[in-house]
Amino acid sequence: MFSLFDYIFYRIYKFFRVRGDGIPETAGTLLLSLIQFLTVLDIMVIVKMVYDYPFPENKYYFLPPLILLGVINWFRYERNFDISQFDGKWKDEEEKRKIKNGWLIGLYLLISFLIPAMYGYLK
Amino acid sequence: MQNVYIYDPNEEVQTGNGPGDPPAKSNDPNWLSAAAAVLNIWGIGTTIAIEGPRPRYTGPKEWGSQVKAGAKFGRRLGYLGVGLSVADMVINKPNASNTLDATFGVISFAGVPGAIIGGVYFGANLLTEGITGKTIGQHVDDNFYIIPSGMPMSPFLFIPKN
Repeated sequence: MFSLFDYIFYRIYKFFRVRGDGIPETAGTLLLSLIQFLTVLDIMVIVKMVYDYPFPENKYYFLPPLILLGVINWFRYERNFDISQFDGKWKDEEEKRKIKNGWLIGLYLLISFLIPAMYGYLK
Repeated sequence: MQNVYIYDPNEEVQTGNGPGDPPAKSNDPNWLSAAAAVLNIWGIGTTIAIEGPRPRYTGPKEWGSQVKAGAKFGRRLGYLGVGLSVADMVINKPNASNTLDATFGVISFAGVPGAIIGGVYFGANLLTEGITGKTIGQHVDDNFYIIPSGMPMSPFLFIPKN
């Protein structure tokens, strides 16, 4: 599981780095945290569709988990930032596989955003 | 005998949007508005610092790390904005308010200027909600029709509802 998170962070970092972003490690950490948060929110929404339960009525109840995920990922990836350990693992990844995985990450982010939005729209 | 008004904090006050009408929320100190004010002032200060001329006493290295720190902070606020607005879409359905919040959150991932814009919007939004009880997007939603214009320079037209 951690390896998957490491890979997502690495790909997001590289995506922003190649485009000349000044703080790609922050983008990687925060987008990974967002993906994790949206996954948890998706699970909550899917469970609510199957078994109705009282959903938090104020959006600020979601602030602590958002901050917690951000802090955990900051500790893991940004505090003593060193990309060489990930470079060693995935720098020579096959180009075809790299493109495919990049699309999968983007698609996952999009779908995990659309599930709560569509649920809110259709309820 | 002259009538003297005695303030009663529990009294229900009719609120409205006209000039002089009391705000939708009570005037009691609100942690949210205080925190938002601090964030907003910080955000505006960072914008001025980045957009304005470099002070003579700040070296290029220090200046670079100040810009970096400001952008990091703005981007973090943008992340919180996106997360909260998606949660809000589940609770209150997608509307102009949470769509606007999510858009500015995404903008905060577009380089240093985007990070600062996203951060300042997040602070200003909290400040507006703390003081008036409604977010910037809710005010827009209540008072304007938003119509796509198709023009790249101003993609949306705001037409007043009244």
